[in-house]
Amino acid sequence: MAARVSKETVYLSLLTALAIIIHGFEYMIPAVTPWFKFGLANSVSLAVISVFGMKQALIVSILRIFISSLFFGTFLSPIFILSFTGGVAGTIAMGVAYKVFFPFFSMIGISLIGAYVHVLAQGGIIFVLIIQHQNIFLLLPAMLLLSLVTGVVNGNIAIKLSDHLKNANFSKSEKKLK
Amino acid sequence: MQIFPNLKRNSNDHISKDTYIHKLDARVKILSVFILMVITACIKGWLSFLILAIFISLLHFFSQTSPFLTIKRLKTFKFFFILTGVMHFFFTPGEIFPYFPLEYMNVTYDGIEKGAIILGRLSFIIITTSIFTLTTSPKCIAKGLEDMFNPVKKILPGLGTFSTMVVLTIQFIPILLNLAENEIKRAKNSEGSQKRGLTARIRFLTKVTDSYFESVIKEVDRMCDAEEFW
Repeated sequence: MAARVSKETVYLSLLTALAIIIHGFEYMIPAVTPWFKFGLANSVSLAVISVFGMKQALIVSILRIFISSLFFGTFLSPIFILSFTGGVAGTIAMGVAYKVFFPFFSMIGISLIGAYVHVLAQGGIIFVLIIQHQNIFLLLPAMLLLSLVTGVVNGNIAIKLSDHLKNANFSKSEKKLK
Repeated sequence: MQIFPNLKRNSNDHISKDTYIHKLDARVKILSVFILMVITACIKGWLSFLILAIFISLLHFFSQTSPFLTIKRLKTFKFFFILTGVMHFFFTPGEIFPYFPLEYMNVTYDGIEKGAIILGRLSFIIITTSIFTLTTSPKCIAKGLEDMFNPVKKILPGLGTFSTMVVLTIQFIPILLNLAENEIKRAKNSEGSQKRGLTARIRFLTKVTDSYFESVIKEVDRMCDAEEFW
């Protein structure tokens, strides 16, 4: 039992580190608007959902947001609250969508669902806590349109990562994780 | 290309000093920041803002942190400030402020008041969290959160390994970061890296991430076979 817990801890820590590094790859893409990010780390969460399960993906998401906030000194700041809300809401939405709709929806469709829920959750938090003005919702159509692009890109990356993870020796030996 | 200089340094902006605030338990600091954020979110009048400003100045004094450091953090949020200002100043109904120079755009007194309150609250929250991260190391924050979750461990047993996972993740980051930098250096010499344009960049990114995942999985399998983890 102790060995099983420690191996799961190691794999999830590794995937969290991967999600943090993948987030850095976003700087290769020119910014379309200020503060709008591709959210490549969510592709790791989706790959974890498909290979290991939603509970593990939630742990990876929360840990990733927490550690990133520690490194960049934004813990408990508005950026942390936004990332946390969007990340957790998006991961839960992708987990539920994967359980209910896969394989009727592909990973790209599930990634799109996650992207939309992510943007809506962040829009809600911005309205309630940060800007507190209803006109912020006027920006939502543009953000959702941009999410269409990011959802497709993240879905493609998640498909590639989940293929690599399924073929990896360490995930084949730990079928009990799912 | 350096993706994350902060990650390479393996530190955040924490400045180690010998003050009472630095020595406070992380749990006390985390709870205090939460309470201060709730109080800041509720204040309205100029007197409340003045009292909060005096309190934050005292925090700066006792923690020996420079106010310029914490105020510099506000630059990261400039987009939020501009958006908040525009939303409130121009779109709040009320009596029109007559001295605004542009003819076709109206600023209202209520908009100025509400915008100023929201901007003030946001600034104080950001400065408070900056003081917190400057006076608390990441290790202490992780330990503090794990101790705070102790009563909940019976309901959610996964929380018990929280700080272990934080430490493990921080240890894995340099390994994966080196692999990422090697992959990017290799890809920079290839054809796709010189093309500009959003779609070309996205295609290049997809190619780089695919080869990066392959190298990460190979490295992890190698470490598992060599039993470097346990």
